[in-house]
Amino acid sequence: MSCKRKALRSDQVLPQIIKVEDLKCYYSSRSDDHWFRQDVVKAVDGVDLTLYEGETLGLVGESGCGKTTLGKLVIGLERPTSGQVLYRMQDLDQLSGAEKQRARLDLQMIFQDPYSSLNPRKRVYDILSTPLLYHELVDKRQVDREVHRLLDLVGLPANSARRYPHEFSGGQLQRLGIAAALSLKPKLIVCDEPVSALDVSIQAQILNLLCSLQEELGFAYLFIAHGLAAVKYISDRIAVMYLGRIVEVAPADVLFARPLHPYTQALIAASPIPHPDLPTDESSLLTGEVPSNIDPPQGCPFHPRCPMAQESCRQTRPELESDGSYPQFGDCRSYRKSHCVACPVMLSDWHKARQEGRDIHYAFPGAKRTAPGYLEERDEN
Amino acid sequence: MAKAQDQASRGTGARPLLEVQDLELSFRSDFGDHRFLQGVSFQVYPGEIVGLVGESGSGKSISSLAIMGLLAKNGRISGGQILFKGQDLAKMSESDLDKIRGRHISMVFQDALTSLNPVFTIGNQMREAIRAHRPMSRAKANQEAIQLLSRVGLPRAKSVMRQYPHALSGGMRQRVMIAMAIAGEPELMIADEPTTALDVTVQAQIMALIKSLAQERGTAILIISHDIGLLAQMVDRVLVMYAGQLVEESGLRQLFEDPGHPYTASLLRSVPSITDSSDRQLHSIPGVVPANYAQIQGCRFFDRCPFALDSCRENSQVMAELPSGQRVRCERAARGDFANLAWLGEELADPEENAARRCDCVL
Repeated sequence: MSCKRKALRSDQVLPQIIKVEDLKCYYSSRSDDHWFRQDVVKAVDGVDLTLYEGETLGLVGESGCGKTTLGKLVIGLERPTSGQVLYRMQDLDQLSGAEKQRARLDLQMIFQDPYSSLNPRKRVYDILSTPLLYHELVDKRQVDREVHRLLDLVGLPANSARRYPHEFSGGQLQRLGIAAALSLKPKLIVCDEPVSALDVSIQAQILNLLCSLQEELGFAYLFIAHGLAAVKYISDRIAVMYLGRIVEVAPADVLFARPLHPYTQALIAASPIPHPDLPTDESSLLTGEVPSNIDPPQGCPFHPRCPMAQESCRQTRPELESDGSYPQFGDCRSYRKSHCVACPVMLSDWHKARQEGRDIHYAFPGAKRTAPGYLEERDEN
Repeated sequence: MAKAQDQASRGTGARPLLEVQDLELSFRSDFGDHRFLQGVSFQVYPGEIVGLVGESGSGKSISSLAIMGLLAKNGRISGGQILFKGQDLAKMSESDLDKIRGRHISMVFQDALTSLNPVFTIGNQMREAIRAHRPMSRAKANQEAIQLLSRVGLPRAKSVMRQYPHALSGGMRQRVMIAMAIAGEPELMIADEPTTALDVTVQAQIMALIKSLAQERGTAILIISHDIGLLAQMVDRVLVMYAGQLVEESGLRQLFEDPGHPYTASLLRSVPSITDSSDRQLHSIPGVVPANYAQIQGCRFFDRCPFALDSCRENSQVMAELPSGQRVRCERAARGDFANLAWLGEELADPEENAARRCDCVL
């Protein structure tokens, strides 16, 4: 059995569950330099994104790029400064009280730190049963059975119900977090770095659990992480985020086979691969650090660190554009499987490469390691 | 082949820099003494990069603290030796240890923010680290500090000297820690999860830095990590720890191509990689590390091992050298029961190929 579902590989058109349009979320913070001045932190700065029913969308990027804020916006935990989040074609912000309540049931979240996201003074039974009773999803007499069913679903023993969160290990706590998210039968679960606090062997258990639950119950995931390997394993599509903007979206295997945005290439080149023959290329690593999102660079946010930056990159901010692999679908945002990238330089290189039958240009050669047949090709040379 | 490589990297007939023999720690508590490690023995040769891998709680960090003599007050080395260039660190007095720590062995800790003093500037702490081992004037130490900071890739080293730790990013702090660690020009540097809290791009920069320093100065490095993928990028040899014991020691390539211990094999198969095909199923090791593993008589991996026999539960396992040169704490591996564990738990779309691979594992 594999993690990826067959229906999602086909060309079938899926209904949209979340559509985000030109979403912005700014925070104000006290300036470091002047006590009287307020700085505007542009956490999410113009994001367009669509999530389809039953799929897993991975969201990757360095810390501080706005992935968590985007996750919170998507489920309505944070209100956008401008732009809208459409849940099944309805604007989350415009919903009436009762409707919003309904929508919130369908949109759940699994948090990064299992130790601090569960109330330490409540027994597991209370943690799992309170939302069920509040939303009147089950009859009072049925609660016991429902709690045990949930525990069983995430692979915890039935006697866990009487215990407190501190009695569990990190992996077990994360299972509880998953059970809590599942209890309301959501349509979409935002997973905010659910495995980064866990040991490798436990990581695999949790990833496999998330996969099998999705298989069984059919909800969609927005899977936020900074480790590419876990994201690749679980996701059908992957969106790469940099300084509050989405710079590339593609089906998981396409993104790794042909990463177009230089930033995506940099991430792949920097990722360690558990294989002694595929070391990271130290001569071509991304240098420097992420600029501040208080005053992001003009034009393309990545241009100060990009080895391919041209004059035009400093002037105009590039928009997501389709690579044209599916001409029949027109605009990139209307087709699930199209590969979109916010880099006109690489996009034109790819068009040329396709005509000439050559490989695309790699700004960070280390990213070639995930191209199909890389090892064989290298061994031949 | 891997063995030949190891020996080449050690140089011919070189004496080990660090030799840990049967290390055993015990911690006093209200409920009596708790023993932590058992039979941890390994060597680090000059100029070599050795990886120490294991899950949290396996004892990898505590081993490194024991080497540095940094155990908590209730902990002590209750057995075994830690020989550094022939001297036993375990029996040394604090003041003698101070002459070795920082000068000959230095350490880079996991969390650079808590390891740096928040109320002193970077310059102040750098000068202290330099002058502790090499008496020199303040001005000279200042110059040296700026040089070191530039060497570890900090831009504008002069202005960094005047800053406090909180003003630096995680990656920059870790660079400062590394600069301090190399200030005494040590022969051995222990890096305890140096990149855990960092982003992948910064992680790659820090690892490249550590590697280049090792090559440039001939410093031996013992790098501790739970991420076997990270170690694959740089180490010569890998030590695998599980539940307070060393369970395998082998050359890097060998570890990946033919792991000796079932735990190592399971660990390798449970790591996702960005080169995986889209139909790969991750192997997950069932269960968790047993809680009070010090009391377990037989193999500590017994209840999670897919190949466990009844005898594994009873017989206490010892490190045995395989013909390939690996050292493994597993009686079945020592008997040669396993053909190749590299494909353990791998599920492919093709059932026939799966069956063939499963047969490959056990003879």
